[in-house]
Amino acid sequence: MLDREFLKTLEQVTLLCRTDLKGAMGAEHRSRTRGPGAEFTDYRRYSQGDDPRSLDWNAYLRLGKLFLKIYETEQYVPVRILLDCSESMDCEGAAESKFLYGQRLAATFAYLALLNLDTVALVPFAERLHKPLVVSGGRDRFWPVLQFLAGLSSGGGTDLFRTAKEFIGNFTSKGMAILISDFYDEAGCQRTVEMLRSSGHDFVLVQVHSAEEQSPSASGELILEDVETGAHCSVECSPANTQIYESKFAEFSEGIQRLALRNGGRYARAVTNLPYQDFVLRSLRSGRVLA
Amino acid sequence: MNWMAMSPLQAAALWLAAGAVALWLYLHTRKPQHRRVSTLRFWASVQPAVQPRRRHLQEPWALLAQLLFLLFVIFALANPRWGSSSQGRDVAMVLDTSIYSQVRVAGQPSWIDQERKEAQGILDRLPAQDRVLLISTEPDAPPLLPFTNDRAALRKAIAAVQPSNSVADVTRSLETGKAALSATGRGLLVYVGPGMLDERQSQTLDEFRQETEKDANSGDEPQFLARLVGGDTPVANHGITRLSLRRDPGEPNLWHLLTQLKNYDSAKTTVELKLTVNGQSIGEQEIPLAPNELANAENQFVWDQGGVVQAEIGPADALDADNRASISLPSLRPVRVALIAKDSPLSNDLFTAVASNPYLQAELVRPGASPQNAPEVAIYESANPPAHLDFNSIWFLKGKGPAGAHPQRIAQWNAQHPVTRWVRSRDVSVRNPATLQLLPGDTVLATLDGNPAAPVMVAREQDGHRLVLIGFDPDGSNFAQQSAFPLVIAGSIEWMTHPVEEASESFSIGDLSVPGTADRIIAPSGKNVAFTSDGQNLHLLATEAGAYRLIAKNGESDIAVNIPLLPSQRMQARPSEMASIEPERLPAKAWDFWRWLAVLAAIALWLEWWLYYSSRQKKQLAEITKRAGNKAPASVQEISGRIREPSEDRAPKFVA
Repeated sequence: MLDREFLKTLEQVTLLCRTDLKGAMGAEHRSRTRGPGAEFTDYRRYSQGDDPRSLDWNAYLRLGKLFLKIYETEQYVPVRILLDCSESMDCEGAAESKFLYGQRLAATFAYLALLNLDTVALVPFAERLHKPLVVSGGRDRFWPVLQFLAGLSSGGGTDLFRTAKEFIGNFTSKGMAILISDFYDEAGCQRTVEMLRSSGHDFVLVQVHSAEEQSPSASGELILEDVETGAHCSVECSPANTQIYESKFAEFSEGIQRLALRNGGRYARAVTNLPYQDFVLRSLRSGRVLA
Repeated sequence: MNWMAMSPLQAAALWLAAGAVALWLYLHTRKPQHRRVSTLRFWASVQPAVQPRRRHLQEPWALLAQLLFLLFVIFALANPRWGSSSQGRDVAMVLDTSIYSQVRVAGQPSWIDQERKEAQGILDRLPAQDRVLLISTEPDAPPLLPFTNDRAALRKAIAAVQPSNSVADVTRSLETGKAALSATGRGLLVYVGPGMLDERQSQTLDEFRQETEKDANSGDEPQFLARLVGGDTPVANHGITRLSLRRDPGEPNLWHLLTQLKNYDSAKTTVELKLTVNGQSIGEQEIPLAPNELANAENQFVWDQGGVVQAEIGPADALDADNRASISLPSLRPVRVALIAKDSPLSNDLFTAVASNPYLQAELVRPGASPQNAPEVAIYESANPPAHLDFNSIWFLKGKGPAGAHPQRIAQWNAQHPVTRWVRSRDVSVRNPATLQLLPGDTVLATLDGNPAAPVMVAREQDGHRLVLIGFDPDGSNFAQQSAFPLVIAGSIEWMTHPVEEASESFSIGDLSVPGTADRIIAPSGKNVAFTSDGQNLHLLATEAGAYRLIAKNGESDIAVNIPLLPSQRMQARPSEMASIEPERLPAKAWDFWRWLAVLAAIALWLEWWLYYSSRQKKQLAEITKRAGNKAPASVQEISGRIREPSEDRAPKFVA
């Protein structure tokens, strides 16, 4: 699923968690929570009640004032990767399969989390949550992740809101939630995002789609069938109609992006004709999902 | 204009068919593609394709260009040509497969091989489009190969040509070839062979040449060429031309054999004649033959059985086929005669005369007794014939009257009937003649002097037997003392049975008339021979030498067919006949259309493409203009660019 060279490259990358999450200490995941960490980050003036063990006595001797040394805490952040396994993720064929692309991204995120000794929960879903895989303990636990992902198959419709509800019910502790999907839910994803936000998760929306979905290459009269609902429609795939389609698709993607940003999340869009290595190392880095 | 590959009708039919297909394709709306997509949400605002399939032409000018393209292509394939076309000339090649083609001169290939080589050479020199007819000189034989320009088939047919035993009728074969060429008006007639002619053929060939040369000036007569094989030297050949057998009248087992020999060479020679009967030698004889002499050799031999007499001459010469001949030797069949009479001077004299004839087997039977063997002829004296006959018979009927009655003279004998054909005597007189009642079918053999002339001797056929009624008592006439008496008796017996003196003549190859009947005739090679029968004779064409089997219901008999007297004159080819093959008259220059038609087809194809795609682009432009409101793009190129320009959204966007 992931090549060895790419995994080696990933050792230089860290999954960035943007919000202050209260989790267990001991992991190698950097967070903005200050505390008794090993890495010095700043000074601040001493206030009553502060831990006197953090006082910088050298500064007191030089300046006659009490300063407190602030260290960055390395926290345990649970990383939950929600992978869309609905039928719509796998209707383009093996060459441009969104599902395979999503599996690779999920594996990448899981590997990065395991590198930081975080706990990873792989949560496949379609109309509802499927049985998740929770692993922790470093990169040595990556093999079960790959086995789990390889065992997944696509099928069923998409119900993002129900999925989000069940996710929040099952995973009560705050953490990082990465939602990998095409977001083709007829009900939309606004309530889903708002629910993630309200539950305090640091969420990342990764929209996966194919180039054909963005800009259809077909021409002439088409009879289209929705793979999830089985609905049919007959359209004339003329240049004018294609133009309309492309604008509608762009509106859809921009809507998801706006929704994510408005609710404090992050957003990334992956096109399956772009190599996933490039997407991870360039696009996710520039999108500050990885550092 | 000539249509080389297709007729105008075929080209038109093909164009109509192709045009119909093109029209159907233009009217045909493609079946919509079926696709499975992840979602239909983006197509929701796209205009659905609900308009009915239109069945009218949307690109009529493009279709017209397509039809023109098809027209030009099909016409180019039909290969029309302006001007006359060269279809080759007709050639009739007459191959002499007569008996002379069997000639093999020492140190040289046989004449048939020389003919084959010559014929192949002619074939090589003929242009490929010339059609050749192969004819053999065998009488009434079908063509070896009808008109064809299939050179392989012609070579195969020439190689398969075999010599026959027949005598060639060269002039007739040439006339056949000329008749076959008459339809074309020009052509080539070639004779290949030794050119052996007899007197008649030589004469007819001269007439044929005169006729051909006279018409040659008109330009419509074929060129006549002769390719003679064997050179000018005479053929060193001698052969048997005839065999004839005759049984001796006094001694039935003695045969007289006549052998006719011919020396075809211009040099004197001596041949050794060997005669055998059923393989048993009956004599050898050396016969000197002068140049071109036709000689007879007579031999006698005694043979009491039937069989086949074979004659063979030596030494070997250039033509082996005529060095032997055969003839059937009939076996002796004496006629059983019963004399049924009382003891009388006439019966005693008659029996003595009949019994002394070696060809007859006589038995004297008294009235009331039965003969020991069923006779073939019975002679009755002083009796009336019964209503039903058991044998062929001669009846002497006694008339009523006094012994001293005045004699009456037999005035007329029937010279046409076999019984009395040899009798001319007017000295026979009879007393008290019987009154003969004539029945329908009776033949009066003799009549008495008087008015009206009373019949005194009648021939009758009754119950499948023959009888002769003699209406007087020989004792009361001078008939027994006259020469007419034995002639009438002998004639009656011969008429009722068969000739007692037998002769046999050999047959020669050609048209035969053989006495007798048969259901089937088998040639020496085992093939069935077609024949006709008129009830008395069989008519057939014998083309092989040897014994032909005549199979009938009542038995089988053989006839020997030998080589006839062969023609001995050599045809002298004239210089014009030995000339080389005339080159064909060049056809008028033809002008091929197909290249120009191909160019026009290419132009039409390009035009169709241009009309079709420009029409589609215009349609797209109109559609986009309609959707964009009044703001129309500046040009088609602009629309194309808009259509093909990748969307900016295609590049992924990430939020920092």
